[in-house]
Amino acid sequence: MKSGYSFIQTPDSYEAGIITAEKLKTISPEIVFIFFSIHYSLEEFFEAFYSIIPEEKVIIWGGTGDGVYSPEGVFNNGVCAVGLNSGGKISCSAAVCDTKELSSYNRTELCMDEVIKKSAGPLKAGLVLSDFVNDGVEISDGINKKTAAPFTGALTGDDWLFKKGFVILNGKVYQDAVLIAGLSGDFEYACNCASGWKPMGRSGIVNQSEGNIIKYIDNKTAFDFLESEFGFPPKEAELGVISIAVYNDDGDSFFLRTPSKIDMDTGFITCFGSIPENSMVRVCNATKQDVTEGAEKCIQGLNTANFRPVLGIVISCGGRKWILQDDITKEIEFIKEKFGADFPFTGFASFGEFGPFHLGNGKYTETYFHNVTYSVMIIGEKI
Amino acid sequence: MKFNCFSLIAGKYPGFEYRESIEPSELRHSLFVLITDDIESFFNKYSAILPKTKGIIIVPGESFSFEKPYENIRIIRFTPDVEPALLPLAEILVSIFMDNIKLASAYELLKIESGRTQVQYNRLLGFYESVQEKARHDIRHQNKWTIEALLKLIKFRNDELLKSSLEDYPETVISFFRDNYFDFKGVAILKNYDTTPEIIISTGDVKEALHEKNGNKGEAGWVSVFPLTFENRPKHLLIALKNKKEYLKEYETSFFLLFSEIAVSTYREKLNEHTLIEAKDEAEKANRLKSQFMANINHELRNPLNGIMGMIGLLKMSELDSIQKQQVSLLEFSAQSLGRIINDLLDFSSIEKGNFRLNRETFLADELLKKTVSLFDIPAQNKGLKLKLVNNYTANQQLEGDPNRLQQIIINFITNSIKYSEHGEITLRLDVDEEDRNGIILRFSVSDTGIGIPEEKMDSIFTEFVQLEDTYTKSRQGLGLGLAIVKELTRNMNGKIEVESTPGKGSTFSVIIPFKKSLHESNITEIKHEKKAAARKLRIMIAEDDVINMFYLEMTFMKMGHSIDKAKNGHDALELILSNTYDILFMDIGMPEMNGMECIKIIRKNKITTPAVVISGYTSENEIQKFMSAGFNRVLSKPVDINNLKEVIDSLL
Repeated sequence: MKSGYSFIQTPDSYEAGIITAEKLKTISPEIVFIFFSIHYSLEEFFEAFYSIIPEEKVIIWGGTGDGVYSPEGVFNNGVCAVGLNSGGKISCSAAVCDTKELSSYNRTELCMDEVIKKSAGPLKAGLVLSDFVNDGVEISDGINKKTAAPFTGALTGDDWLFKKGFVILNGKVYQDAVLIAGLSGDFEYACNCASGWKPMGRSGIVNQSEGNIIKYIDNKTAFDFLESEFGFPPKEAELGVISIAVYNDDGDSFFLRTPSKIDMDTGFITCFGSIPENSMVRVCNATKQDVTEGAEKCIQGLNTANFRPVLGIVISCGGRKWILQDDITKEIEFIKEKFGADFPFTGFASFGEFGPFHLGNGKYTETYFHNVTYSVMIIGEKI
Repeated sequence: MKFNCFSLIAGKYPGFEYRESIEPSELRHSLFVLITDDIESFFNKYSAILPKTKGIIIVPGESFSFEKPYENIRIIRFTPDVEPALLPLAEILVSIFMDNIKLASAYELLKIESGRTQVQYNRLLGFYESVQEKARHDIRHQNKWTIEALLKLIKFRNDELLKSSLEDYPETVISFFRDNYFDFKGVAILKNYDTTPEIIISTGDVKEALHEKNGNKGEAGWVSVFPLTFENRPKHLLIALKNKKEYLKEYETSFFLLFSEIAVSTYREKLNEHTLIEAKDEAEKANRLKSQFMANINHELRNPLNGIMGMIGLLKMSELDSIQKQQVSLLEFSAQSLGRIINDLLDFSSIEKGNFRLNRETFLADELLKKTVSLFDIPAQNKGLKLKLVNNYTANQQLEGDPNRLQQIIINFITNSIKYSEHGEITLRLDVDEEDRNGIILRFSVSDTGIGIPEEKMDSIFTEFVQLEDTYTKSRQGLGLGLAIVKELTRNMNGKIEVESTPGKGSTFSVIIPFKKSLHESNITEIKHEKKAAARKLRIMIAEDDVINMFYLEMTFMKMGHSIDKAKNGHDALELILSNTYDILFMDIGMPEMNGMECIKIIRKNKITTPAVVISGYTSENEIQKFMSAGFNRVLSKPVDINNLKEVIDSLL
């Protein structure tokens, strides 16, 4: 298997397309995973790209984010693409659904059905993208309903403006859509996710919630619960830092929900993602050190001992970038330390993440929808 | 970016690949350098793709010139002698072009960064409490750097930011970082980012880093951009380049944000100050223009009026029957009214500017009233109105004041009374309100049986340009300045105005003005002047380019029995004066070839002391002083009449 990456920051969309394609054409890619900051004209980019690498010869899968991750660093603007030539070993089937009348769950179901149908064999792993308008929990439910294969992915976005995010399949750009890529064939993979946030205080039970609005926990308003467990009233300013751990049935593993808004009149809290009623929750907090350690933990938890990693997809929440500031580059340093300085990977800062937890020995939990989480998939070939 | 060299002209350009035709994608994919002698056809053929390309077109032609039909295409003409060097020339042009492209890309990146940083900045404003808390945390944990930086910032703001001029503001801002306080490779300002971007470098090599950032090679450090925002738009961008590829540390970010806030608020203070100064300069300039305009208007109106009044004066001196005499009187009254309107305009302008001044002379109140009433005998008669004078102060006591301006007030009242009365009588009345040894308060009243003033208009009649009737329906003439000027004149005289009126019955306008009693005897030289003027034959030189004014002066002086020499301009006047002896000179100011001012200066330089009188339409105090300083002995304002001329001759001779 061969892989290569291209990272470019020229603001000229056409030029960016030419340079990206020129760099990747040396490996004759079968699949290109590509992420953009929001500033590009994707039409111009792909017009240029396809003039170098013909459209029929490559599958292109990607989206936009709050900046891009590349082996050269984490940047607010640019294009980072990774090309994969598996020598025919990996089969990729992809589908996208942007039907307005359908819910996020139904869209995911449709995509999964198509992906599974077109797949050359049983799905081993998958990738998912959607913009932030869709419901991440519904998407993860839709995936888990159809397959036990682990999926890594994210909600696409923009410069933290929360105005638009795009998903891209084969040069076509979609908004308000779910995009799924299923991978089957003779290859190896590893994925994991972690956040670094640490639960604190006592746990509580969600008495009442409505979608992504949490109303009452342990018979107090959500705000009062947070205040009682956090120690003092969380300010609006700290919403990006405080998170709520939502425990799984095992009572041990959890995924995070980050508050986006506090209604001081009602005490209700809106989160980036829903929390079902009767869930057990705890307040979490994290220092910069904790956040960085979360990324390190995620990388260390990737089990790649039995294969040669060929490329990586890295998803990290925009909120982590916001908090880590100058330390954000450590998130890619961990990758380079483990897989080599010239290891090709691409990724972006997202508005919500998908990924399973690695339980060890190649076993994974179901795919969860997370907030403020670092989620990675590594693809490679058997040694 | 690589580039391709093509030629659409066969044969002769080494290094340029000859093509009959070029694929649009070839033009699109990379920068091109193209030689063609038919640029129009090329533009027509590739018009769809050219806006998306970047290139240089080299055209054989007469001379070098740059033209830009498309922003992204440069067109250069070359002469035959350059042909052997076209390829190296193309390489140089491409490298300049690519530098521009790189810089343009760098600007685009900065815009993106700025936009993003603006979002961060806005969010951080919301996080300000947390930022402050973090700063306090830094201080608590003895972050000496932060404390020192804050102290330096405060000192810098007071010592330098506040004292810099607006133009130097961006340079002053980055001068703060010349201390190399931070661990930066360079700091720069992108000045006037929104209009004419220009990078001002403080320390280090930010410009190179911007190019490198575009190509993403080399050891470029992390570029952070902070907008200095004014009116919600980034005006200048503060750019910091770290030595390493990493974000700014939090305390550095906090500091930059704090610095940005302080710089912006200080700039705003300076801008307000600057705006006020500019507004003041504009107002002063407008005032100067207005003064100049008024001076020109004054002159342009007075000149023909002088001709009219002059001809009326000559007519009056000729033999007329009674009807003709009446007609001439009415003509004179109309011309005098016009003269008063011009005076009103000038007075109004002086009052507006605040440089209106009263003269100080002595006069007899009784004499003044009689003279004033006599002006209106015929106009009142013609309208069937009876004009009466009731003087309750006939004492032969000289008073100190400005009799001309006092007369102007009374004339104004009487004029209005005549204007607004169709029948009945108009009474000019003088009463004493108070008197003691040194002074007296006199009440001048004009009562009429006219239309009266409605209650709702009483407050506004003294406002400039306000009249009792609407502009289009009014049956009476006037600008509406008279009473406004009366109000100012009265105020300047420390007096007050009273008005009583009953609509349909009439009005009484009164001014109550204090005067000092003069210790001098009354001036009875008028009769003597008349005798003097008639006494001897004078040789007079007149310099005047206006035919009518010249005719009037010539006739008037001849009727007085004097001999005249005429000049049409200062040059001719000088010739006459240098070769003849005159008793008195009369000169206009505005004349072709040489004006009156230039002429009198040369006359006085030649030690000729003949009395000289200027007759001018320029009548401001400033101009009068200029005329006197130049060498004139007296100034007569147009329009002049025969009495003015007699009086001035007598006074000078």
